[in-house]
Amino acid sequence: MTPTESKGLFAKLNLFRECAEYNLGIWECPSFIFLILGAVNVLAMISTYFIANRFTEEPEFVALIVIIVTAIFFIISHTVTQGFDKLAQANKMKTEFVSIASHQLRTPLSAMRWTLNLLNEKHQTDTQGQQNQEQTNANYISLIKESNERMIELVNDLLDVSRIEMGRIILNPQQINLYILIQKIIENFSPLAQASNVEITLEAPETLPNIYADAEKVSLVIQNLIDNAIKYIKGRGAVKISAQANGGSVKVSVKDTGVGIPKIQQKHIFQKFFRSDNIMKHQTIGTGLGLFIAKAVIEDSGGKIWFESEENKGTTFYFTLPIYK
Amino acid sequence: MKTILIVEDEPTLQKTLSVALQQGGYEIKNALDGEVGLALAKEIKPDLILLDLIMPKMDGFEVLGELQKEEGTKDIPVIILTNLESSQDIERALVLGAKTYLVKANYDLKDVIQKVKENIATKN
Repeated sequence: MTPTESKGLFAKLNLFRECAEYNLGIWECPSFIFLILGAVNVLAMISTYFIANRFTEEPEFVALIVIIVTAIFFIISHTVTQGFDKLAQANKMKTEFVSIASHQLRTPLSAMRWTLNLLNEKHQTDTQGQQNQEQTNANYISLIKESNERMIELVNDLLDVSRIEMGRIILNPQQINLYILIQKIIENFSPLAQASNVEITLEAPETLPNIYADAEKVSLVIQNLIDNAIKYIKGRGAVKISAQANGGSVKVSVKDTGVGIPKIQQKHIFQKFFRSDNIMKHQTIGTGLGLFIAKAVIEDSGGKIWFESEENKGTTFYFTLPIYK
Repeated sequence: MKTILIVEDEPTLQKTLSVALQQGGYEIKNALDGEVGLALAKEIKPDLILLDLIMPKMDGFEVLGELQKEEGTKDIPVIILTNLESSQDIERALVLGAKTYLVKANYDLKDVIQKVKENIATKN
């Protein structure tokens, strides 16, 4: 056997690697279950032979054994089929992920491309025209900067998602004053809030204990929750943020008067790229990865994240983070 | 002067398209979502529509369908400008009446203008 042939054979024998890649447990892995099935088969045949030989006077007993063994086979085969289904699903999600991510990257890419097209054009101008041209070019450059920032944001989100999937998310926990952090974030949101006719308020005691978590990642989580809250409010509305100590953690809630999340979609909210389409069909702003990342960050920091929502009334997201000791 | 209706929800793409087409000598009308786009199309009956597919409120596919239903709008040439690229989406758009389908990320503005020239309505 040549080295490549023997390598191929070994790869085929490494049946469980594919299952591990897709994060399937060993009892969900069809290849493994098939092996078990094979072993059970051999065992069943041997024992049936011996039992049948011993109980030749009582054929009903043998028949019963055969029925039981057949039933066991049926159950095991069912598990095998389910395993294959899960593998196919995981594969499908992988391709869909790549497809959606590349589509999202294309929007800022096209914007940059066309703005560069315009920047590149040369116009005959007088001195007054020259000034206007400079202003226009400055506008174009700021548009390119915007697109570039969007692409960076998306790529960073994708990297975060990839790290989360491989269990390798990097967190640098430190002492954080949540009160100050949330206030700063609300300040940064004030232009968007004003433009969207939304009022953001914070209700928290000044004596709020410090928490122990990664400041950058927690800041992103809060920004994401506020951003979603504003996005899903139709017309005028309010976003109320509150924080309070609760046992060994601080509990934060972000409550909006938005359109709410329909019951059937609620269980998908924390999935990658899932976007509740209650308000707008195919709203393209945002990466759709925010809540997936938020859940991983909060849980890896020792907290919990959940929500309550009623259609046409609003949504409240809650999360907890451990107090710094 | 011929009128072009741009139905596109991304502000930068809308801006750059408008500028380039205005420089090309066309009058431009803009819509940020499918609903407004459809209403404008019925009202002004442009000589060409540049239509995005993924938009809030009403997507491009729905707009195409609605345009085909009315006598006044069914003959307006529509160029799909999108970043979707699957053959299913392309086929669906063409079946619904679009004249041609461009993937934005693959074309310079001057190429888009070329396609506009090729497809714009020639009547009166």
